[in-house]
Amino acid sequence: MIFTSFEFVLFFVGVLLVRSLLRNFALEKWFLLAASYVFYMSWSVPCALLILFTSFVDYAVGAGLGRIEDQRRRKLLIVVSIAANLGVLGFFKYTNFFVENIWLALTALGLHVRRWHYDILLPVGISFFTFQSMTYTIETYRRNIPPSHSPRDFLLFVAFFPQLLAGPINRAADLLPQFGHRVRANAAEFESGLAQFALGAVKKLVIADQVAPNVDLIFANPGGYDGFTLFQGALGYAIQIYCDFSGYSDMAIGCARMMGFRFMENFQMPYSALSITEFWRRWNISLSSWFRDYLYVPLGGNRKGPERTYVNLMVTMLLCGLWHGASWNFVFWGGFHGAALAIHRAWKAWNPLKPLNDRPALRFVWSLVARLLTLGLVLVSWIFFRAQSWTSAWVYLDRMINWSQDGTRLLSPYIFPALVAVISVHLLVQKDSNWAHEMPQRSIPTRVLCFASLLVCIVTLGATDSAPFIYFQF
Amino acid sequence: VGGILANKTWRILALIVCTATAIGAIASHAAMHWLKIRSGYAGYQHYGPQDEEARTILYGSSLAYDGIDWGEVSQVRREGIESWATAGSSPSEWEAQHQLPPKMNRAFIVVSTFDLNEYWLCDFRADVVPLGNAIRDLKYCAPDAQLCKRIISQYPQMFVRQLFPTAGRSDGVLVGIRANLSKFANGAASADVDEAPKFGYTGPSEVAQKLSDWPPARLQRRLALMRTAFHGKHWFDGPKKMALMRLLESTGNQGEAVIVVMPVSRIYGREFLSPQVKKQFEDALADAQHHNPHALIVRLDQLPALDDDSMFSDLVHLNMYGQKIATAALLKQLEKSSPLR
Repeated sequence: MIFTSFEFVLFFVGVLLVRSLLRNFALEKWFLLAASYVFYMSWSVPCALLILFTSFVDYAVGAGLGRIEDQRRRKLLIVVSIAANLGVLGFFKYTNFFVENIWLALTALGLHVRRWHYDILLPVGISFFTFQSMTYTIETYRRNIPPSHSPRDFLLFVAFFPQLLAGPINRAADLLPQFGHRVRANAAEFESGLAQFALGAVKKLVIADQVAPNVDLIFANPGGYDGFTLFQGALGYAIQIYCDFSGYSDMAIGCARMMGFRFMENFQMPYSALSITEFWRRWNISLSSWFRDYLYVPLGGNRKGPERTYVNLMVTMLLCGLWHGASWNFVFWGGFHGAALAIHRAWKAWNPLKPLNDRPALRFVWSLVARLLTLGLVLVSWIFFRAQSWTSAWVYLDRMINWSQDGTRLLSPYIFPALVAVISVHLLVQKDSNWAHEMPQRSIPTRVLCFASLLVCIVTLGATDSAPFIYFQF
Repeated sequence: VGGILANKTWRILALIVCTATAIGAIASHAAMHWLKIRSGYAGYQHYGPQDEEARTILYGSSLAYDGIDWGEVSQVRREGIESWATAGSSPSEWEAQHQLPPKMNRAFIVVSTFDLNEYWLCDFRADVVPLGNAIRDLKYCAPDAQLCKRIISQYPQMFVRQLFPTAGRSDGVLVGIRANLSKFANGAASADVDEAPKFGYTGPSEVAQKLSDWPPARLQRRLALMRTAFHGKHWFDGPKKMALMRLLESTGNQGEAVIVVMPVSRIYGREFLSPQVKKQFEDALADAQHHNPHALIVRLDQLPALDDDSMFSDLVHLNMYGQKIATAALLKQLEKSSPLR
């Protein structure tokens, strides 16, 4: 059941109606919990046991952390929680990757061993719900939040269906208290939730899914296309992944808001960023802030001198890359961003162009250059993220940068209109404001026009057969 | 709901949503009209003298209508042929849609690796096949969950289309927009825009376009669209095969059944039809034939003359040159099996 399917719309309308009929608050939460597990089990019934396992381990650890004062025992408990979560994640996601690499290393050393491969099913959303669950134990360990006294509330926090499959990764401190009292959306919240859901559907169905076939075609055989087509493919993928993932996030946030819950925003016009650092403040905000708060800062962050800061950035981003998938392509992608972040940090410290900031014209030119440079870096990194293999990524990059003239020239009728749409929105819309949240404050004709436009886009240009969201595979 | 609507802000929101829906519906209907997207699913075709009762029935998709000159077949065989043409149809739709004529003596059932593929779904399936039949076949064949979902979700979509007829027809909308823009720009349709098959036209094909002349980019784009349409997969052991079996059985009880297997282009074959897929197709045909062992099979897909991309107007449809060869070959086979007196 994906957000763009008929069955989800029916499911969600059913959840809203039944919930509105329930007078008993405890019953309402049990109902939401049951609905969340039904939603997950529409993907996989056995994998729902994993969510239960993660939830029970972390709930027990949280309860222990609330009781125990001895710091050594508390540390042991948090290690148990992290080991259980990362163990589950590591087993399901990385076993074959590690086994394969050990085999490669042994083969390189001249040792002939049998090649192992295990048929392990990757449970959908595993990277998201384990990370979300860990925010609870870590924050409880840090004594930033009290332990939850309701197993039902905690189970609901981990499995709440709008965010279960692909985030946003909500913090326990933000979401858990929302289950402590009865929340209902008022008309304004419902309207902004509906607008955000519809906007997400447009991003996914009208842009990401329409661009996808041509992007897939180009990335499937980079050696067969000329430089122009490859450049177009890279732009297409940049748009596809943004609209796919931010579309999913918008729909998740919209669903929650229609029920009266508030999730953290996950995307804020990332392609308008002036630097790679700003890009990461606007792209997959819930994940990047997770890595910042639970990895980068504990590693020392920027408090231990510049060299250590660069190392910390690199380590954080390499692991962020690995989080996305068990492949060296993702590790390289993470390393590439880590290096870019470190270089940007060094540049900011040096800042030879600081005097230019006083001249508006030069500042404008520099902001344009900085924007293009950031976009260029992100574009190149997406090639490694999307390519089917390491070799394929290099072939792609080589042919694109050298503007290869041999090969087929494919002019996609979808990529350029989608590019124009995304870029104009990034340039014209105030990048820190939330259009959907401001909707109820607009005049009635404007609101009618906005809803009608979104609806017309979906029913005329929405892809016939929606593909699963890209981030489900992570 | 009543309580909620007692509140003014909720009433305003309801008004906004209803008005937006109405505007969306009007825009969707207007787009259908402006872009000339087909919304009706069946077109009655009659070949031969109009006043003569047809005793031959034709089951087929656009591949059958583009690939064979049924007017010529009717003329040479001196038999009226009737049919209900539905774009992208398959045995599932034919079975549900057609009533056998009372005095039927022959049925042509035209299939191919393209339209017998279970992953290729007719856009009008839900309009034609009752939901009960679809569920019965799905329960029996147990296809993968993804295919079940695709088939079942066509039914709610059918209701959504009452309000928004363009829903799920974005390909048609985009092709229509491109065609209209090309007309505005050049005064003529772009060569890169594909024409929809002409249903209701009963003369010989006038399509001279050759697949072999297509620029590589256009070919790649079309392959990408096709791959998306059936998820790049072929499977021949599902509801369509069951419907074909039942069709063969029922037609066999009333007269002669002729299965015509249409060819697909070499490019299509290279891209999508692995040896295993071809074997599955042959197995499905053989299984179906068990239900009517007397059925005549005409293998136009095995004609060497049609194993050439210049005989196709696109990846699966024959052009006028291919049609001539295919029609002659079909008539020859018919003459051999049941000579005209």
